[in-house]
Amino acid sequence: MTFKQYKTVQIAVLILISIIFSQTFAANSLALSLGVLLAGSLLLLFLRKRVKEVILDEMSYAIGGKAALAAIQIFCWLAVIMMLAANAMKHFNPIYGTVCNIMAFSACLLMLIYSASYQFFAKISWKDPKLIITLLLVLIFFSFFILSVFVKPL
Amino acid sequence: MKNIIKELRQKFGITQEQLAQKVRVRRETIVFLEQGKYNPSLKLAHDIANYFNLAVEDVFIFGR
Repeated sequence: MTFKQYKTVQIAVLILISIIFSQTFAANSLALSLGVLLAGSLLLLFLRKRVKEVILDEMSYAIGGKAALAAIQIFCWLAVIMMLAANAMKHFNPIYGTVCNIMAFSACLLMLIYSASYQFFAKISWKDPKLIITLLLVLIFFSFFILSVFVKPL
Repeated sequence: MKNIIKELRQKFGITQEQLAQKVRVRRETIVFLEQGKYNPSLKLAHDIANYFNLAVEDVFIFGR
């Protein structure tokens, strides 16, 4: 199978999965929708293995890394703006307070996952003091947000 | 970083697709390399130079 054929089949399979998933999910058939997702993912994995051409190379990884970093930065800035906006509007509706917490919580979680992934791929020692301090700070913020979201004030 | 991949490819009479297959990268990578929009890794530079039986510095021109 060539790469072009794989891309065509991939789009067709994705459209098919989306249609079946949305219909089964709307019909409250959770098991069937999960089964369709799993089967579709396995089919795509199987097809990908049959492609003889190179799908990803060093340039894909370089561009992917830059794009991922840009996406993280943009998301974090958007989360901060939305968090401030929701915080300012929480007097109109208490749900905005929860939205504010969730946005802050999501940005912290994303940074934590990014730090852990960077640590894993860069093979930095877990004993590096800078890394320990950074992770501790992120964890402290993370704990505060968990408490503010799930624990109601007395 | 400039290079003479296009000239060498034409001299050897091979397409971008064939060169990409030989050095195990995507054709788009060869396109970007020829246009000077992408700096290859040391391994890829070595593989390309090796394919044309040349040294890396003969294929890739390192500027300041």
